[in-house]
Amino acid sequence: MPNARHKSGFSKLHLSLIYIIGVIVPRRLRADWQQEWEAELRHREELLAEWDNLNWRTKFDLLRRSLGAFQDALLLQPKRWEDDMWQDLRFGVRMLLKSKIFTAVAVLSLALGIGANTAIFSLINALMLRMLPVKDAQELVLFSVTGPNVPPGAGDSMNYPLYEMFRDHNQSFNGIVTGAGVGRARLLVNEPGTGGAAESVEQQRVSGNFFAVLGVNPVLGRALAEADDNPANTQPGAIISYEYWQRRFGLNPNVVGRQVTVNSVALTIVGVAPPGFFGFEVGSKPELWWPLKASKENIDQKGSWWLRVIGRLRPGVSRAQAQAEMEVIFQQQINEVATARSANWTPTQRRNHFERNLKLDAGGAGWTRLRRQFRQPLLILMATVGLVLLIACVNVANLLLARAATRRKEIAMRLALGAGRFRLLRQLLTESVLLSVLGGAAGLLFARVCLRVLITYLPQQSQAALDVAPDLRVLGFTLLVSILTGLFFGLAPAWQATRLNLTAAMKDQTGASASGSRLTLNKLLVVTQVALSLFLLIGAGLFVRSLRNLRTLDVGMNYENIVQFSLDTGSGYNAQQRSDLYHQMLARLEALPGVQAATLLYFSLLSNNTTSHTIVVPSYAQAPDENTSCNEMAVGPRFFETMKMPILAGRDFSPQDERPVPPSNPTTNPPATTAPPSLTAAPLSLTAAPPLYAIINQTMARYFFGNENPVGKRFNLKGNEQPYEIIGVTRDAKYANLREPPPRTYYLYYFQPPRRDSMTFQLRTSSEAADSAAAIQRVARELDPQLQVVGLRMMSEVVNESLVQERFIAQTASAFSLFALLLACVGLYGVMSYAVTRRTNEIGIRMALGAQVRDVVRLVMREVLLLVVLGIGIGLTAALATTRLVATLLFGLTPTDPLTITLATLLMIGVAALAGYLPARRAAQVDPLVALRHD
Amino acid sequence: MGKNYLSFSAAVILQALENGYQYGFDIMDVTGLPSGTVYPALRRMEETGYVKSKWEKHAIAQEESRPPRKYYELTREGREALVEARSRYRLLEQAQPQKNDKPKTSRA
Repeated sequence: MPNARHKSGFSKLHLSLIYIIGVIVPRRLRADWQQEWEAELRHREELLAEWDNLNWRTKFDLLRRSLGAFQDALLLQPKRWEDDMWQDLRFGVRMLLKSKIFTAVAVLSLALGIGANTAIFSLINALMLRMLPVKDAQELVLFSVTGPNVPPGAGDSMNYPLYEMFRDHNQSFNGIVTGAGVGRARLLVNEPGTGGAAESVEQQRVSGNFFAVLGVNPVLGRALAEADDNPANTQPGAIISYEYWQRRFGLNPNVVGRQVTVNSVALTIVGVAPPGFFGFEVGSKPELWWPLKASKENIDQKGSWWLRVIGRLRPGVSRAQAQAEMEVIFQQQINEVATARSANWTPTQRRNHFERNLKLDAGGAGWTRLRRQFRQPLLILMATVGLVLLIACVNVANLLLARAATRRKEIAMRLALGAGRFRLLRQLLTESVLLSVLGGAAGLLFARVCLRVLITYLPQQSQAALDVAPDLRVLGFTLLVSILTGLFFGLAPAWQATRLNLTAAMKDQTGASASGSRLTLNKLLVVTQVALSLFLLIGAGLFVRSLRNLRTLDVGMNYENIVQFSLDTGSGYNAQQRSDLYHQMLARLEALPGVQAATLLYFSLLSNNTTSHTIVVPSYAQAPDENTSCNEMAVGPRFFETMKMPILAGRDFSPQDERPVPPSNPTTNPPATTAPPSLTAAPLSLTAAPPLYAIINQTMARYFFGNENPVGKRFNLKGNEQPYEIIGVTRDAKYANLREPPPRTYYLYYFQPPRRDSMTFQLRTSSEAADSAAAIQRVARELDPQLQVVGLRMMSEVVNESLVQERFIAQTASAFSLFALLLACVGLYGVMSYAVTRRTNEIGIRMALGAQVRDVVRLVMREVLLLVVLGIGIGLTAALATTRLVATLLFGLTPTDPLTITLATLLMIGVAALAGYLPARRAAQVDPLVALRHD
Repeated sequence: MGKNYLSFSAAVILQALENGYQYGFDIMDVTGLPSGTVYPALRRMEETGYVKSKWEKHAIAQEESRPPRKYYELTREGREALVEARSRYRLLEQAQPQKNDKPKTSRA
């Protein structure tokens, strides 16, 4: 490229301007830039001279144009940043490669910190933030009921008549859909010829407009239509999931039109949902959707709260407007129900009934019961891992500070040679951001491992269904956290490093001059770490002790070695046949080797299910607004023996207590429900006089009969004449869950009316569930080849699962806080080692003057303990101020539990003292002669 | 890259290049655009590949005792972009004279 310079031009103003402006053009482009402008200006000037037209006006025009070059030069500025950035990055990479151990340690601790944050955030994202894979998910809203007495979780459900009113009388929505809970059901694909085999599939019953309103088009066939969701339709349609189509039918397009039977309802497969579609229940993966009204059961009960409702707002309608409109409909039903039933309500029941409101929430992220269960633990964990990352940051900042000391001469040299402080800051920050982005990248890998562990806390069926793969939001989160982390831990060291006394720094070897303030910063950081990790240790300790309290709780029974399962009988069993089946089954199960006892019960215990009734005890004087509801439990023979619940007075049920099945016992299934029990209890319509037998627990006995012996006393359910005679009292036991105190409970004998439909079998065995599975399966098949054994598991597993929230938070929080402790100790160790190295000289002099090993150790330890005590003081204050925020998650201890706090503090002191002792000992082993020569 | 929509001034500059105006100042003259628009636009279009630049032969410059000038040419992509821009900016074709007369400033 030609680069001729022509001296004659320099005197001209417009050419000088180009040279002046050229200074701000990035160096790489400058020569070319100047040459282009100069050539243009000179060419123009020559032309003008040639035409004899070089007057003040044309000269002014040239000047104006050369000023225009300024704008051109300004617009080239980003190139300069680009150039500098690449230079910074190249230099940064070189520096990181130069000190490999430093880089490895820093990247590793950042990776663990950032990875933990990414993992927890991924879970939060999957459960609460990720939009449903449907059209315009942000338009969806979720219906719920709120009120001071609505039990947790129950508010998410609606009854069918209410849904119909919402759907048919609104101006705010483009459509409202509903769906029952996703659950397993027995599916029979009618194979031509063979008759087909039953299998168990995840299914969901939905309204006919489900697919249309969600805006989901089937990949094959058609979507469900309103006509399918009609009891008059004899062959209603069903949609299968893409994954089920693939697995069961090998993507055969002829699947449309196939006949299937679900829970003995005949359906036709009319379409296949697109891959990845799972409806609106996050963490579920239904394989089949079928219309609510296809089953002939009565779903029009206003007392059955079992449906989730989601609506799609019309464009321009706000959630508040829609809520106001729906509230009117909701209150209308509340009033209707009250008019029909309030005659025999207590004032409390009345209040509970009326103190309810409808609420609409953003529904784009769908609905899941996991959210309620995991929301608070996840937020607490997010805070925890945030603090862990902070500790990791502080560690890296400490490392950087120490390293800055070794780079003092380099930095001083560069400053002396004219590098701007800002330029150097940028260089150093580029290095730290580079570190943290490397940490973030490695953190993504760690997050995957971490997530795999976290996922195991979710219910089995959700583990596969929940999509926790990192999406853009998670990646963005990780990137943001990484960059902020880099800036955070890099800023202070970079600031320090560039604030140098040049002369001192250039002369200095080990750096006595600026050491004072830098070490202060180091130590401040260590104090922060100790405080933060003590804080986390106390938190984790509280959760661990809560879990322990729950685990070692006296539950009033022995649930170890209990195998439980249910039988899916399909249809075709009437009450008498079912009763006979249970008799035969029990007899055969008890004959199995290893089975000590077998019994039946209605709900499995400790799984959060309850049925309760308000009862009347004639001998008990009841206050007007007294709540006399008791939990009801239907049990089989030998129940108390099987569960090792002692009978304290009276006797157990015996086979003689059995009553024949009344001729017309209704066998319809009430819909599954999560509603307040008082709303679901169907009144019993028995009018017979002879008493049925009941066994009550201690709490109920104490409540109604005080110190009297309740055996022989009677009670009846409110609104029902059938008397129950108490034949025994059993020990209190936990019923629905471990946290609640034992409620007042009465036990009824299954083999007397009212016989419940499907009972759970419980066996006390000497073997694991898996070992007994085959034998149980065989026994069932012998009785009826169509019988399916479902939900076979150990009761201890069920109990363990009911503690999943507590286990989740206790185990993860303690893992993270121990990690934080480790990080803090590494930090303490690093800082003390560094401090000791710097004082080698001084220590040498002290030892030469007669100081003993003990004195030196004491000298260093005094400093260590000062830092630790300061940190503990701050950590304790923070803990005492904040632990009450987690009080609802604790069990059997206060948020300021002295034992937990003491143990955590002792652990902190112990480990920190050890981390400080190692450098102290090393200091004491210094040879005075060597130390004095040490510069 | 090729799918960027051209601004009107960028299209005018491409049009000037097609009409045979090759130097920054000549383009300013014929389009009436200021230097602060023409140069940045040329540099941007050079990055997108619509325009390429070359230095004038050294001998010519030496004869006139000045540094060699930088001239710009349309690339094939630039020509395509111009065709596309013409369909949107109807007035474009009438906007400029063909290169034969002297720059406007010569008579100013």
